[in-house]
Amino acid sequence: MLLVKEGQLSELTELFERYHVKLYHFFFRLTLDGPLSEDLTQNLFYRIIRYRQSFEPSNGNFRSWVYRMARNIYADHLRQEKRLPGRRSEPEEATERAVVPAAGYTEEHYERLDLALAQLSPDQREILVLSRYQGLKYAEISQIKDLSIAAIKVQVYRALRQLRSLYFKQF
Amino acid sequence: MTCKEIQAVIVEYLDQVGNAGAGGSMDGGGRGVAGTGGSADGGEPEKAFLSAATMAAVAAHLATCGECRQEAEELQELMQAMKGMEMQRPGPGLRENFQLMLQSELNMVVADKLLHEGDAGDGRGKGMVIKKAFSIWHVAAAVILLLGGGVGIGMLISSKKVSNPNTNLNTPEQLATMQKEIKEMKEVLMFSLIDNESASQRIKAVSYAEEMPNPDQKVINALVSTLNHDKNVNVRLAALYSLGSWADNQMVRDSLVASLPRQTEPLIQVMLINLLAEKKDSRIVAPIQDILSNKKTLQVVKDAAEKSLKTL
Repeated sequence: MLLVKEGQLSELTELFERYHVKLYHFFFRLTLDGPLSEDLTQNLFYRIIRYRQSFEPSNGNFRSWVYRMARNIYADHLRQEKRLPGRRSEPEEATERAVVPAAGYTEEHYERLDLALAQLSPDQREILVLSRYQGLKYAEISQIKDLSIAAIKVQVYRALRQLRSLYFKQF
Repeated sequence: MTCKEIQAVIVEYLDQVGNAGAGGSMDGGGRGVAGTGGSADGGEPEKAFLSAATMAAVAAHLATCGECRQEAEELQELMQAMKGMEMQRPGPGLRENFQLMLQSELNMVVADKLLHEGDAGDGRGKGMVIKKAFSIWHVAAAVILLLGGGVGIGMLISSKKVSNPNTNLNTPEQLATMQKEIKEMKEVLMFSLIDNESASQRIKAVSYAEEMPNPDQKVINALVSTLNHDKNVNVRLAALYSLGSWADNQMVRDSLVASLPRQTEPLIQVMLINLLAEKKDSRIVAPIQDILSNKKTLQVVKDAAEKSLKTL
């Protein structure tokens, strides 16, 4: 990323290759909307290109920087959604889920999990997506959210607990 | 350990149990499909935080406290399920659009360098073009030259070929018919592409429009709608280039004036302001003042706005 900052824009292609699926997945888990997630991912890369000079390694690593921007984009999207609720695209049916189910989990389990996740508050969903789906470390999330590591751990636990009660209530 | 203390560490406990390989309190072998995908970006698991003593204390508590054990088992099931979820993959359009964005940014940087090499003193390492957005029209011109036969926006150049009568057309009538047909064909192409999902196709559509010497209301409306609503900034930019070339057309001018207050993208704001200020259109004074008083407006946009106010 430092190379990018110094103006070697072509390095951005490598960053794109490395991160775009993951970041798309980040938005997808939050919105469950494929086309929308592509839009948001694209906005994000647009910002990365445009604001590459503002990356400051002393404030954390590249991942934290990118996820901070990703969160902002998602927050902007939520605000917009509130103002113009009509724009929402109909829920995805087309995205076939390419799941290789883990031992003991069926398609139904995953659907139930999606449903439970969708019922969490945006904040709780986000913290789970960051820590569970994106595999970020507590330290990184604490940089992204400007909170202490201890506070992040508490949030993760509370969100998981909430998810648990939503998930098992369905049985 | 009390139940409350267990809650504070249970997630880490389960993670550590899971990462230590199969086993734990649940059925073995259930590590599932790694949900984190490529590990190139350092997606390795959290380092072990809990000491062996703590781990043992948690395990001991779970063995005796039914409530905590149930919670632990359910949480573990959830965490495993989340791990097993496959990564969703975006469509190919995302990469294409990214390449397009990157290409136009690269062009800007190169154009910027070219333009400023002549400046007194060496303007090295200035970075973002947008800082010097006053010369945006010059930059635009340079970008167009650079793009040549390449990506989208550069297609303007070919417009000249259309009206060039060096083909084997014998009479002015034939030429006129031919030109009319070409125009119709381009219109058809444009309208079929302008709603395309791919940004590069939409840019192509806009560039077809550009090649029409006398656009009709339908074409103008389509471009204005693209300028105001397209989600991709490069497409909006291309639409603005096209519309800009007909800025003396009253309908186009009215649309551009109306578009200014809607724009939030700095690059487009600056281009619009410069374009309309060049045409001495005083109707933009009010929207410019709004832009100036908006806290979110970037400094470069403010600079361009102030500069243009002086000329109006």
